[in-house]
Amino acid sequence: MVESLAVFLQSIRWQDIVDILLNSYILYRVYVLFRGTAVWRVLVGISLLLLGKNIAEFLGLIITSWAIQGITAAAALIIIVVFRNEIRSVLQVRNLRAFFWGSPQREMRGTIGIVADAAFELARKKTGAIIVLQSKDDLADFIRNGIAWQGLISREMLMSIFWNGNPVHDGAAIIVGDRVTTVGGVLPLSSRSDLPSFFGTRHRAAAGLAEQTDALVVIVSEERGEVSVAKGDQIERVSGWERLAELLEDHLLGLDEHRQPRRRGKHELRLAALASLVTVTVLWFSFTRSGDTLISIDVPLEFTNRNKAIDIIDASASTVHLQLSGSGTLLKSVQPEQVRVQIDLGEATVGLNRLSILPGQVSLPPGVYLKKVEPAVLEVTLDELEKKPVAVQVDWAGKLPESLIMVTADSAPAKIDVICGKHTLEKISTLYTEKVPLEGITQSGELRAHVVLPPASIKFASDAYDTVTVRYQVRPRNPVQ
Amino acid sequence: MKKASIIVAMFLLCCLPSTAFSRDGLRLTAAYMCEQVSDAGPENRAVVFSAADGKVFCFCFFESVPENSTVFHVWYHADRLVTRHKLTLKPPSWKIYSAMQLRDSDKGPWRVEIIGADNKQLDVVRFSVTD
Repeated sequence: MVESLAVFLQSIRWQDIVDILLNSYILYRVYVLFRGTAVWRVLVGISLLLLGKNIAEFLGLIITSWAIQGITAAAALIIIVVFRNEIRSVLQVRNLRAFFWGSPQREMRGTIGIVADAAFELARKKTGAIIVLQSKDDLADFIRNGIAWQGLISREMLMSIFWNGNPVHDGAAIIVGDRVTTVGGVLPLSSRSDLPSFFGTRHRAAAGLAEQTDALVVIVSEERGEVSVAKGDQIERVSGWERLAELLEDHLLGLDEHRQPRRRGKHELRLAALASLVTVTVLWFSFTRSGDTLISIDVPLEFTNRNKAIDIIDASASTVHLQLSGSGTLLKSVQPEQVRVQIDLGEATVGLNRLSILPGQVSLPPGVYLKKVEPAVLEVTLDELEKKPVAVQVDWAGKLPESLIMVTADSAPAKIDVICGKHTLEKISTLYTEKVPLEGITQSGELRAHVVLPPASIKFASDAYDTVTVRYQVRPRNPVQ
Repeated sequence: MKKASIIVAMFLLCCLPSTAFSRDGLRLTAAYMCEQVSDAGPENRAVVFSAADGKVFCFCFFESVPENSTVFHVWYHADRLVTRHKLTLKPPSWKIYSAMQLRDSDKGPWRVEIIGADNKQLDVVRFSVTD
C-alpha cells in the first residue's frame, strides 16, 4: 500500500501540480467574476448537461446523449450572445490586477461600482448630490415631489442628474436594483439636534430618511467636496472609493441574502476555492489516470538542420510508426499536428547515414508516452548539390499526318540548368517535355512546352526554365515509287 | 592575311554543326535518324517515327578515318538502355548505320548516343516513336 503510494507520488511531475493549480485558479476566478450573475447559473447548467451527457453515454442512451450534446453546443453560443453585456462588464474591469488577482470583497461591479465612481467624480467637481439606495422598506411614503425616471443606472446618468443645469439636481435620486427609479425627490429633514453645525439641508435630508427607513443614502457635499453615507442613525464621512464600495456592498448583499454579508462572503469564497481545486483534481485524474491505453499512429518524418549545400537523395522511410500509451481520453484527443518526429541532420555527412530515432526526437502532447518506434533506425543518403546543364528532348505523342515527315525539332534553350545531388545528377542526361500532341501539325512552326522534372529532388536553377520553345520543321513525304 | 585565314578557318571549324572529332582525327560529319537506308544512302531523315513503320535507322558518316576502328551506337528508350551496336569503320571515309525494330510498346522519346572507341561521346541523336 505504502509502496504503491510512493510509486504514484513519484509518477506525478511538477508540471502536473502546476496544471492542477493553474486550472483550479482559473475555475475559481471564473466563479468570482461571474458569481451572482445569470452567466454563472448558465455555466453551472452547461456543466450539469455535460455530466448528464457522459452518464447518458455510459448508460448507452444514444438519443439522450446526442440531444444533450446538441443543447450544450447551442448553449455555449447562446451564453455569449445573450449575456454579452455581463461578460463585457466582467472583462472591462477597472484594471488587470482586479481581473486576475483582485480581492473579491473589493471587486465592485454594477450598481456598487457605478455609484462609487459617480459619487467621487461629483465630489471632485464639487457638485452636490444625494443618492438613495432603497432597501426592503418602501420609500414612497417618505419621498415627495419625485419624478419617475426608470433609467438603467450608469455613471454618466448620475453625473447628468446632478449637473447644476438640470432642474432636478437639488433633489434625491432613488436607486432600486440597477435602475434609477425616481429623481428630484424631496426627503424628510432630520429633527436631530446633535448633528454637526456644518451639515446643510442635504445632509439633514439624508439623515432624516436614514433614520426613518433602512435605506442607505450617499451624500456629496457641494461646499467641501466630501462624500458621506447615512445609514440608520449613523452618518460616516467616507475616506475613499474602496470604503464607499464596501459600505454599498454590505448594504446590497444584506438585501439579497439576509445574512452577515462579509463573513459569509469570505466563507463562500473559501468553499469555492476548495471546490475548484477538488473539481480540477478529479478532472485531471479522470483525464490522465483513467487506464493505460495503447494506440499506433504513422507520423511523417521531419528533417532539421540540413546543410543547405546538401540534399536528401534517399531515405529508408518517410514516415515512422509510433506506439503511444496514456489515458484513453487523452489519446483520443491527440491531433496529428501534436505528434512530431524530427531527425537532426546537423552531423550527417554526404553518403549513407544510419540515424537512430531516439525518444528525444519525438514530440508528444503532455500525458502521452512513447512505447515503441518503427523503424528504430533510419538510413538517409545525402549528396552535395550541384548545378548541371541538361539537354531537353521533346516528347512527341499522337500521330503525325501520314503525308508529312518531321525533319527537325529543336528546343530553345537546348539545355536547362538543374540543381540536384551530385550522384543523382550523374544519372540524368535528358529532360523531357510534357507530351506534345502531333495532331494538328500541318506545317513547320513553333510551340511552347513545359519541361517535366523526373525525381522530386531535382530543381530548376531558375523558375524561367520550366517552359521551352519547340521549333519544328516538317516536309511532305515523297510519294512511294 | 595568313593570320586572318587561320582565324576564319578555326571559326568555320567550330561552326560545323554535326561534325565531331576524335583525338586520332576521326571526323563524324553526319548523324541522324531515317526511315530507310538503301544503297543510295539514308532515306526520309526524320525525328518522329510511327511505331507502325516497324523499323528505324541511325545513320552516320565518318571522314578522315585513319585506320580500321570501331564506334558504338547505344540506343536508349526514355533513359533506359535498350541495346549497344558495335560498328566498324574503315579509312578513309565510311558510312555506318544501326537499326531498331519497333513495337507498339516502344512509343516514347528515344536517343542514340554515338560513342568512339575511346569511350568519348561523339554525338547524340534524339527522336520519338509515336502512334
